[in-house]
Amino acid sequence: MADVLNIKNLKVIFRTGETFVRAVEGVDIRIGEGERVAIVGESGCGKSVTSLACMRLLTTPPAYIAADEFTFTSSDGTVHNLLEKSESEMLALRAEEMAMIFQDPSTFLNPVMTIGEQLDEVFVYHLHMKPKEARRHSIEMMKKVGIPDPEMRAEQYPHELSGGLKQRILIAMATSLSPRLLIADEPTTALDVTIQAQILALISERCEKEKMSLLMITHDLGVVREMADRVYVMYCGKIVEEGTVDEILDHPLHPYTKALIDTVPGVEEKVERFVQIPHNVPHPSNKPQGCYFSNRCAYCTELCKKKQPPLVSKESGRYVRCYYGTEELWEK
Amino acid sequence: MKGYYFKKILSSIFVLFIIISLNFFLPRMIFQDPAQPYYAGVPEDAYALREQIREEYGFNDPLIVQYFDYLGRVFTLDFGESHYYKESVWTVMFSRIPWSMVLTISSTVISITLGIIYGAIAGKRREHTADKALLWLSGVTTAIPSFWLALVSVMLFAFTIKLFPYRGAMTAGYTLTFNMPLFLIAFALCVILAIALRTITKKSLFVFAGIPVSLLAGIIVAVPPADIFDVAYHAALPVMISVFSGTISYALLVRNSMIAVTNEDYILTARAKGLPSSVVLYKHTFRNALLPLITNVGMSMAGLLGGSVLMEKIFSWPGMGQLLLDACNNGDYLLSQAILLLFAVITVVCNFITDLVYHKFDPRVKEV
Repeated sequence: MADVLNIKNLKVIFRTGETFVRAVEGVDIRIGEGERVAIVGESGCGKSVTSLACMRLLTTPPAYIAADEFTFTSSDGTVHNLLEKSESEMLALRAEEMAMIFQDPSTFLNPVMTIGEQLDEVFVYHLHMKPKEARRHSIEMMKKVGIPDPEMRAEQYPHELSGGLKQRILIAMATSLSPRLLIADEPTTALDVTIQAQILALISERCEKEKMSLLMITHDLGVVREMADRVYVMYCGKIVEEGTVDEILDHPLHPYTKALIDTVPGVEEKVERFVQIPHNVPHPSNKPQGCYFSNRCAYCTELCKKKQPPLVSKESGRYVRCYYGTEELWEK
Repeated sequence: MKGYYFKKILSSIFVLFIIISLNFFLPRMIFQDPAQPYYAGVPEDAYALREQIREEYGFNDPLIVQYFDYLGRVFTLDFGESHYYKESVWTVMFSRIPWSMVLTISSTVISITLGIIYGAIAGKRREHTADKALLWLSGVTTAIPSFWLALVSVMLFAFTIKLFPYRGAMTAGYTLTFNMPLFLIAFALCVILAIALRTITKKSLFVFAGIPVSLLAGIIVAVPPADIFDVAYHAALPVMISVFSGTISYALLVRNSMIAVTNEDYILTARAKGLPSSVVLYKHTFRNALLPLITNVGMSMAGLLGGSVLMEKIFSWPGMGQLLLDACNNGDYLLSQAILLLFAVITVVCNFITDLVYHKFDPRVKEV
């Protein structure tokens, strides 16, 4: 069967007045059926913008999207060209075929509507249910995501719930129509560590039960190990490395991936100082001329500073955007 | 919840107490002798008689004794007699309050309604003509004081074009016919109807809308149409001027908060749910955007009776603002004290009501 999501050469440009900011520069992403894919990268590398572009939630202006291929296959096998969909056609796809959960559950729920009202809306506007019937389904969904005493919770407002419960509500909202693709944009960033594990387990469980594909946006390599089959590493709006989760985490080929992994402190070793990647992510309007990572790379050469390396295929399904891109490099 | 209201009521009482005290001391800080009004008809040089009057009314007592005497009178709602109008302060005030309400309530209701509509349009279609016009107009209304606008409008519409009358609330020589029993019957019927609708539908809308609608119904029944028309004809110009600046300021408020709410994260959630843009706008954006308006309306409600002093003066409108001004000019301090106290009470009550309404719309406030 066809891929759920197939993106080739996606570009997103933001226009503010006379300046153009290229947030995403030619990204290729493919998500197979039931596959769990992660996009990893630092803040500001364009991963959230990519996910919002998939849902067509970026407003034009200021955002402009272009791609060679940008298709989504819904559960009945129809291939949708997301670039050509009108807003009203997108409404039908959102929540029914593709859904999204967000970073901070406390700001992503409407503060003046009850939890029940917000869950009901999905059923009312997509399945045209009567309010009472919708509420019955909402409570059913709240049970599925493990919310105790759902009847009482449905009458409460978001501020009366803990962060973990709110994230469960957002998961319930996103998965209530069993979409084919679930996009999770850093779903555990704003939560306590103990709650994070529960939420990740819940997302996995929901994906398995509803046979959803998962696109996980994160900067947490632990989450990647737990949640993903395949990983895209993104830097400055470009994919710098692609591979299976074991390949990427155990045998990184790109200096950026390697540096990311090195920054994660081990549990056993005692460290004086955390490892860090020097400098910050360059601002999108001020990227280096050659390889975007050249100014922070420990293995940078004259060639890297002059010309951008292409994304080269190493083995099957393994891509890296680096002139050197071999494990021997780490020996130096 | 109950504790919250208890605290609120206690603090309101404290505020009122401070205002009452200020009310007592302020007239005594003015150079004028507070006993002056009582000397009416007494010759300048009749010192013995004047002294006798001072003694009689307690002006020779220590200030603190006078103060507690005043507190006692306030608590028994005895404001005395206005020396200028030779009537009880209550009677004088009550003859003026309805006139002020005609002017201020109608202009507030109209400007809020228009302001919300205009603000929503401008906020939704940002940078379009309506939005740009709003920003420009708000600059204009801030720069032009309303009294100046009023004076120019009087000149233009009352003298040059003669479209509207320029003074008073009714044509000279006419008095308003007001049928009190009819008013009470109509008012009571409407209130009962509102309560019944509230019980059946369980919608709090009927509580909020019930009182103004009942008042309106009562007035329509109790006042002959010719009189209503005459008052409306006289009120048109001052109301339009207040509505002009009021609409712009409310619209700007709604527009700004619409834009702020549109960028909120939960609007993204609503859109990600696949809700039609009209639902996102009215159910999610609008409800949150109107919250700051409630505070603003609450504050201007407090100014409903006193806020239009200038407008009443310019149009010789027989309202409370005009009355306060005259009371100050005539040294009728018993009357001015009572008016100021009334304004203060209304302000405190309005703040309290605003709190109640805010609770209704923003559940987060309950946490306070």
